[in-house]
Amino acid sequence: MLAKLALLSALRRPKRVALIVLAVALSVFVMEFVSGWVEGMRDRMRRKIVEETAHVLVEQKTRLDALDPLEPKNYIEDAAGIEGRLRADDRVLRLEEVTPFGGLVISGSKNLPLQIYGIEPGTGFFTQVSRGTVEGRFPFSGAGIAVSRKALELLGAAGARTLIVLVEDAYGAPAYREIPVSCVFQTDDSEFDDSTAFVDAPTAAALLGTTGPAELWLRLKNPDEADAVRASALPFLEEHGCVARTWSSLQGNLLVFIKFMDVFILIINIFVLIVAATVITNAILMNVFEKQREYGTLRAIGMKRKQQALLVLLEGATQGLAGAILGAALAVPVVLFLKRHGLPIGEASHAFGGGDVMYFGTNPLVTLQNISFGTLIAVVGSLYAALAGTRGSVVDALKGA
Amino acid sequence: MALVEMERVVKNYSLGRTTIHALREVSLAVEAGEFTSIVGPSGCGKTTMLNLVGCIDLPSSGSIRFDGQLTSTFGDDDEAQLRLAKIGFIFQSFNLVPVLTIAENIEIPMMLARKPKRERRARVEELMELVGLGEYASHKPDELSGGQRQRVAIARALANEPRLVIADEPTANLDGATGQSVLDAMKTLNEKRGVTFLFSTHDPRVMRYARRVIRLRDGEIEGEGVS
Repeated sequence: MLAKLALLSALRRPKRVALIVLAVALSVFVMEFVSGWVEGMRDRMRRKIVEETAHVLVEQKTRLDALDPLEPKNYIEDAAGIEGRLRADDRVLRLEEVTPFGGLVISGSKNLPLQIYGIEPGTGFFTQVSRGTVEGRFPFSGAGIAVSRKALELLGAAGARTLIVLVEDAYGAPAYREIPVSCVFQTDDSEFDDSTAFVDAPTAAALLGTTGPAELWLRLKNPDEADAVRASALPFLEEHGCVARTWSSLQGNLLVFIKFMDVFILIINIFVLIVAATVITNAILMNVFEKQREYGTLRAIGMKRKQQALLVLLEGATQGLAGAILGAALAVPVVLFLKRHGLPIGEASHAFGGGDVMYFGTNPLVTLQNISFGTLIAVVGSLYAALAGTRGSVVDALKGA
Repeated sequence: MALVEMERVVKNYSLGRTTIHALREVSLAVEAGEFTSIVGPSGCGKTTMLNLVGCIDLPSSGSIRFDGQLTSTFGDDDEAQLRLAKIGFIFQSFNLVPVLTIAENIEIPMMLARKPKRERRARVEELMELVGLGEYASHKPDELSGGQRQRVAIARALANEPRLVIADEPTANLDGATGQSVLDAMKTLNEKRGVTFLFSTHDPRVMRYARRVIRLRDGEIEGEGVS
């Protein structure tokens, strides 16, 4: 009956109830929107870690601190032997040879320095590029280069069938080759669109004059096992002069950023909590003061102070829950829409590792958490009102003071 | 042993620099089963006295015993528990909870006393019949007349079978006939069920109902009579 009393008492002041419900709904909407935005960024980063890069990266030890990483000694010598041994580990899902190098892409009188990856024909990494392919195919078979639409525009080479790639080879001599454009892509990731190109592994080897790859990329069935896989392979790799690094050390900055996002959400939520709780406290405080006589009567007939406080809190919690559900009901469709169609925010999203469109993410647990948080806002807001309302004596309450 | 014993009770209120002496060393004993009226002009201390007996206010000095227990030193929760178990209140302006039905209003004290639902429901029915409002269970207070509301308040006061029912000017907001019917109901409960009533009034017609009348003036007992 206490719950019924709390609910019915609240409904006596519909405008005030509407204010509280709307304050909570707005808070939950904001929290859900921010969570969706951050979840989208987190998804992007998670995908980057899980799909775009190696979970374990193997390379020559000498390459780590080399002044010129393109020197012949910095390439993996017995790649086939090492690969055979690593593939025997059933925790490894995929293993690829990758050779990154810097090069100048030239078209006519214009050139553009790019980070170029020499990749296997059937690469399973760089899924954003394959998803963002607008012309040709990725991965491509045979000799070819994959460049972004943006790079072609900068080169003034839209529609070009070939591009010239100029590099410094493993011996320090310039080498160049005309390569057919096999793929044009446009991702929502500025890192790819602004500064990355891909060539097939034989072309890379021919350009650089090397016989082995620079890196071996391992994707694992479970990325969390990266440290264990690295530890078990390390003795064998060291025998071959190689080292291995895991995704947590390769993507340390991203991991820090993800952790920062959690703090960012917390700060936003605290800010929302303070603003909403202030509105709610005032509204519930007015309710409590208006009902002093009623509370006085209830206490005169035996209600304890803490029961009265509970009544006020229940009133707040009921309205908070209603507002939180309303807020989530309004926000979830918006977030789902933005997850599908994205929010065009221009270059601002580049700062968060994205393209011009920010795609949102959803997480039912976060939505539930936001609903709970919204209800909590109302309870916290009611807390002061509950304490203030029970402070006076029964006689004062009966007088309505 | 008397049900209520007040011993040299003083109650002062501070209003800025002024001290109001609401009760001045009042001593009084109320026995179980009495139907006692406290009478006197407005501001003589009737309500203060009832509040002190009902444990909703504390004396400035002196002692109050209820059923042998020294209540003037009670803590907040003990006072609430005593009121819940042993004292019923009837207010001048009824003080029913407007959003609850008549039945629910009567049920509140039993709910606070954590009585089982079945017992509560049976008691509510019994009390509604007792005060003649059997068919109004699902009505809201604002659908009832003043007299009917006061009857509901009486039923609520009796819900937990208290040792004492305190009524502060129970007929002040009622017309003569309605007030009389409310007093008749109280009197019947006192005579047939032995419920102790202590009520205040300044209406001479109401005083006639009381078996014992205590006259207050300026915070002191001026005298008392028995009818």
